[in-house]
Amino acid sequence: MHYRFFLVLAVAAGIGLAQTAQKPDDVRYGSISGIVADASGVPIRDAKVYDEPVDSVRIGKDHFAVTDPNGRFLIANVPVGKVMVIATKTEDGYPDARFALYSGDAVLPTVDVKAGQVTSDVAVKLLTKGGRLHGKIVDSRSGLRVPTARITLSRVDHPNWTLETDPESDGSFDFLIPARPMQIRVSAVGYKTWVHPASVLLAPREQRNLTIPLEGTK
Amino acid sequence: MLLSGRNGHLSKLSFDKLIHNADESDYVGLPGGGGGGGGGCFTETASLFVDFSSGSNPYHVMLEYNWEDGSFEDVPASSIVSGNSAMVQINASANGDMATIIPAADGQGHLVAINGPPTSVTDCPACSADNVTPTGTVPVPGNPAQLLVIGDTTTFPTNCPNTKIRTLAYQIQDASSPPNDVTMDVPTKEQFAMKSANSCNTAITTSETCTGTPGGIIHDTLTVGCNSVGGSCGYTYSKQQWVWCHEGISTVIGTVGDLIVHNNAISVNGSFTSIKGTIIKP
Repeated sequence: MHYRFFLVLAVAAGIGLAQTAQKPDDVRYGSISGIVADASGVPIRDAKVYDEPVDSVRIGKDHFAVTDPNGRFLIANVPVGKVMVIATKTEDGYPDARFALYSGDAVLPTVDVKAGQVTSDVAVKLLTKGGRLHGKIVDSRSGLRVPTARITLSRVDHPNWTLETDPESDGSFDFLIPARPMQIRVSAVGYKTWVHPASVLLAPREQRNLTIPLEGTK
Repeated sequence: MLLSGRNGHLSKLSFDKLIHNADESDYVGLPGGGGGGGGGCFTETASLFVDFSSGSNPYHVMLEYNWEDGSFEDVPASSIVSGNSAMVQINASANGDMATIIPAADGQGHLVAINGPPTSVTDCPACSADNVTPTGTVPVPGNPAQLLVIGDTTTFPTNCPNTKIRTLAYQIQDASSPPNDVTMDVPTKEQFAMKSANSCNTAITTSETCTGTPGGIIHDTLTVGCNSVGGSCGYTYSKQQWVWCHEGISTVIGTVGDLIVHNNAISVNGSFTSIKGTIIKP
């Protein structure tokens, strides 16, 4: 039971079921409702739906709603104006379309939100499922983890659209990779930069393991 | 005839095997093991736990039957009593009892016992039912007291792919040693000592009103949005703090520092590189 509890906590930590609301005094608000489906039109439950203002910018905490068992959602407290509506469900392999690395050339719905009104029947498609790249970053001599490592993913067709992040504290990583050619680079203080010798292309749902050995500069 | 099993009065005597000859036999009746209609014969224990998977306080209290074959069955519990109602409050609902977790005021983590009424633990047509009193413990974290940076990612947003966006993930923790993660939905907001004008001319909304924080993880996004002025532009927000909102009181749980946010570079407390692993104190 002890182990079960912490497993449950870990799951609880990873999912946000509540929608956060932001109400600065100088902005008016409306709502957006609609349905989230996959590429074949099947409604998807428990997807997160974000509203990303086009004419302004929201910083701070995420603002999103979660779809019901029929794939339907309602986002309240949306600033008036043009808003991009983006759906994700990374735990099931649907990449996070909020970021250019994943969304690429996808056409995401943009709606016009009016004060006090619900913009309804917005159809949002999830991106095509990606593959998972997982593995570990280690010192090539000792095999030990490299705590200062930084991983950079970039698209072959748009090299400037990158995503930089850290491995876990044990040196492991687990990324959702969109189904398009990607470059992978790993850097760390005291080590030569490691670059994957060729672009990486994972098919949807494909799982690939990769051990990245970093060579010290001394 | 006097029979005594290794489990005392809970041991049962049954006749369930039909022997045809030295090589052939069949079991009679329902197969052993497995609850939930499988006809399992022996439920070894029954226990209680709080299901935190919703990420939203209050949480369902569940009764778990553990079957002899290692499987288990979870059902909503009812008539549960808390061993410390200052930290775990139990209330009945149409879908079973709900537990409201109240962080401990001393800032330390605690284990609170919960107890249920006697329940039958043997579900076998050939056996008589026996009652046990299920119990469980609920880990209760202390009050939110600090932040741990568990993620620091820099990328480019879809709606403005030429400007940077940096997302930090902060896990709220209590003051225990070592600290416990506070994984419940915590009302929080951010505040700043001073906010400069934004030379990118984009209207900015912040999280300076109290809202929920599912799972106790704050995802803080920093960007200038779409840069329409050309060249480097941005803003500086001084002394960012995260605040726990409770009972009309605002308690600072983490002072991050200054945020210098430009279209092409984002600094958090002077660092343009990852601060993952950093503990941020009030």
